[in-house]
Amino acid sequence: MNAVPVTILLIEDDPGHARLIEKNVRRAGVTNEIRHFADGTTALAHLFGRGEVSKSDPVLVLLDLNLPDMSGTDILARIKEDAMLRRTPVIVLTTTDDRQEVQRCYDLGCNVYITKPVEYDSFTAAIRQLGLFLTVMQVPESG
Amino acid sequence: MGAVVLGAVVCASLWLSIRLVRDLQQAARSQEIRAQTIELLEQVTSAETGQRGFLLTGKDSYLQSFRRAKQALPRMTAAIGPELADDPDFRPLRAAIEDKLGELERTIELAKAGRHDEALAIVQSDFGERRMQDVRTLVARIAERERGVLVHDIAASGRGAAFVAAVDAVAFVLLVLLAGVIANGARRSVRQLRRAQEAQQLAYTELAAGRERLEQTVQARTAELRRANEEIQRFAYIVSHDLRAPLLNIIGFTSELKNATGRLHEFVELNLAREGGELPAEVREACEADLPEAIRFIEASTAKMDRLIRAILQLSREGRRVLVPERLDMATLLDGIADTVRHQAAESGAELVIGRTPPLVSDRWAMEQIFSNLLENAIKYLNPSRPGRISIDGVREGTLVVYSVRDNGRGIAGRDLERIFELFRRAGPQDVPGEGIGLAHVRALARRLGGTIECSSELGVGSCFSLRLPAVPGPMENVPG
Repeated sequence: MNAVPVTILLIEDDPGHARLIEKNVRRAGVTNEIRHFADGTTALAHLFGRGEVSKSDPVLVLLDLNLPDMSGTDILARIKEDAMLRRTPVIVLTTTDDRQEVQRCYDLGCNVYITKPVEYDSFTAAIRQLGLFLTVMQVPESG
Repeated sequence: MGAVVLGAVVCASLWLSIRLVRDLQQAARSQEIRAQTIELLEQVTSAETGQRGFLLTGKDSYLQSFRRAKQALPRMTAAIGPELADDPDFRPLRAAIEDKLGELERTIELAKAGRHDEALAIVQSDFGERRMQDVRTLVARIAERERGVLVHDIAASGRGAAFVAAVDAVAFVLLVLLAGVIANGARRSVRQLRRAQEAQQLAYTELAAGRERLEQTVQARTAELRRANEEIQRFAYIVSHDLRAPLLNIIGFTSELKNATGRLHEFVELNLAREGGELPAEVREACEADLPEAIRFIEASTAKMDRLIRAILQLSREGRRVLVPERLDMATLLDGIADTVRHQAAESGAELVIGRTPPLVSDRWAMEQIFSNLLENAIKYLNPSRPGRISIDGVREGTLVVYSVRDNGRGIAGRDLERIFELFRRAGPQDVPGEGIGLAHVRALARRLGGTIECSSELGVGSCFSLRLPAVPGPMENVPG
């Protein structure tokens, strides 16, 4: 296990969705810090504004594609273009299951793509599995 | 009109020419008669000369000219006789000639017989001399008369010729006039023709310009429609997408509420069981009936709403799908679709028959969507009281191919025939699950393929859906992007 705890960055404009995701992640037993950003600008400011040292702190991004100020795919592209951040796991969470969009996210380097199904049970199941996945995941040292 | 006048003039000229020829022939004849009459005189004179010579010399050689004349004269008078039958001097002339010849003959006979004196006495009687004089006078008069006739005929023919010339001149003038009129008419019709051509040219130009404008208008409208269509598609996509986000919250938190309620209820029941006592009736009702009921309704409604939004999203996505026309082997295509529903059909005891399958050029996916929707509907709405029978049959109608899907199911009321193609609308008893999306989808696809779909039906008897598509389609309405 990695000594440095992974911080989860939740980029999600809908507070309800954010809350539901957080609740279900917690229910899965994940205790890592979760930082919530309601728009792309502040999320990017946080990701790129950190000093070079802390930029290497392991983070995991839970990314919604429909943000008020920019498209989630733009954020995904920015992360995957950056030499330091490109190894950061990105889990895309969106209401869309549009094949083209899914494919585009994978092309950009997204690690996991989860649609937010309206059948709530399957959604919570997916989030809990994700939580289990997070508890055993080792974020690789960057650089 | 000109031609009639010209024809009359030509006829007149011809007639005059014939008359002219006749006049000239008469003149020639008169000339001939005159010459022959004068010839008579010469013969008589010749005969007398012969007689005189014989009487003086007694030589027989002088009689030769007499004999020739005596032989020729009756023939000659006979020849001109019919011509001069009307001439008052001809008969006396013939008599005088005969008398003269008789006198000459007699003197010659007497001289031959040696009776010179008697012959001489006859000559001296001056009878012969007088008859000779008569012949000269009569010949001169006949010749004079014939000359008059000749002169008259020549004058007449001269006039006739002048007349013919005049008529011909008139004809020439008329001809020239007619030619002028014709030329003028021709020139005018050429001018009119040219004007008509110019007018036609102008009309063509205007028509082309009109067509151009129309074309531009059509293009502009088409572009507008395409933009509007794109906008609707995008709108539908955004709406459905954005509606789903709050819906997800309602569903999510309802689920939380349900779980929390359940936990609370469990806790209360547990406490009551442990500590005894009774829950007030209204609290019990709230826990056991009101809350679960409210939650059930919210869940049912959100589930329904989710299905509708998903349907709109699907329609919008399929509306943006690029259609690619290809030549379709309809028999294979329909067999494939029939296989996917045959299980359902067999379960409800229905028979599925595929008839004629004329090929067509269209989008494979769209055709599969259309026919599987129609077949699924046909099976879904069969009449359970009789064995189902579903048939597909295609026929070529000019440039169209018409496919009919016919069933003997429960049928559709007349007032619902259009409604069933509307989104979220259904007809008849709502005893089978469905969202009212299939036929809206089918109609949208048929339109995009350049065709139509219509339904005819009789309630309780069966329905027939007719899909009309161009055998070879024009450009498909593809929304770019």
